[in-house]
Amino acid sequence: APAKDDVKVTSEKMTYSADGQTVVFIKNVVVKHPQADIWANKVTVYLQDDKNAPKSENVGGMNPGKIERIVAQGNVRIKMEKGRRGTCDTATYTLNDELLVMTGSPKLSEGKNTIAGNIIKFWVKENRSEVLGSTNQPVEAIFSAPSKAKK
Amino acid sequence: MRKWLIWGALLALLGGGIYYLHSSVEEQIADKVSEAIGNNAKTNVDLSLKGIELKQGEAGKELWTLKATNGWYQKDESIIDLAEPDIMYFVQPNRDKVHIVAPNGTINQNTGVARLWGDVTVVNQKGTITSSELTFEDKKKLLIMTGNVIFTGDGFNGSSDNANWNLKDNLITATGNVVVNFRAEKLDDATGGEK
Repeated sequence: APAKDDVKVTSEKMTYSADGQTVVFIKNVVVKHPQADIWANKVTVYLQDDKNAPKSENVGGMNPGKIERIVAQGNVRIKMEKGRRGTCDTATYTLNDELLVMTGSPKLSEGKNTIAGNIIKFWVKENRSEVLGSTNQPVEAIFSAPSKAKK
Repeated sequence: MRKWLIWGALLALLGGGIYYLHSSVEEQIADKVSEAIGNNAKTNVDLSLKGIELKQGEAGKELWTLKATNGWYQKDESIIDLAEPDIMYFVQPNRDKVHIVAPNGTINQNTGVARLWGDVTVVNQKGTITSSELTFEDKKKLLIMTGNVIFTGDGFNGSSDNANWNLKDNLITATGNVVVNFRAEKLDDATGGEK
């Protein structure tokens, strides 16, 4: 049976290069990951070569196993813990440092608070995000003020 | 003169007996096989072979070898029915081995297509694929697996309705209800046992 840290991917089609290190999922792709569920048109999973598979330093953190990184493309939707939601065109999740990089009109929201920009970097374990803007996609942050206590 | 006649009759009797014995034994084998492979090998068998080995080469190199414990050649349809076919395919250029085994199979020499069924298992150095049926198209260098396809790779396992393996590009494509589970190594292995 799948273990706690396993990553499960479902789709309608998959290609795997028998001597390479990539598995590509196409059409209605759903990634179930311990820290995030991702929906996308296409997802590429990059596996580590045994030669350079690093030991997992973050004891107690996510165990990357053979996966190096996951790249989701096209209508990407992300659902994380604590009601965090993200949408973008492309999302790259690197398992070893548990970093999610969102590009292509990225938006990340938690409850009513939302941030948007050109690139959003989100360190999942540290719960820290960084938003980079550009001229045509400036950083935009909306924080909803707590509603006033009724007199 | 009479002596010669008696000798001749005795020889004819002996020959007939041997011929009868030989064909009934062959018939029994064919009976057993046609039950196992579900077609009427019994009536069409032209040649019954034991311990088959076929080889196919390309540009001076061995491309694949096929072995089988038994085979029955049907000349009219140029079909060979196989018991326990065992195919070793050498993927060029590095000649990585792909090993295919199944309990039953048949080869159509006209179309260059082999069909294997029962629990078919395909193994290479990176993983294994099993399926109910497999078609091997020699000309296209293509393996087509259908029915309950289950695959295990280096660090992942999964299933799908169908899969095909393009041996030219060494690319495996799975289609229909694809589910893949990427296994996280046990934390002990990854961190050398410290917690």
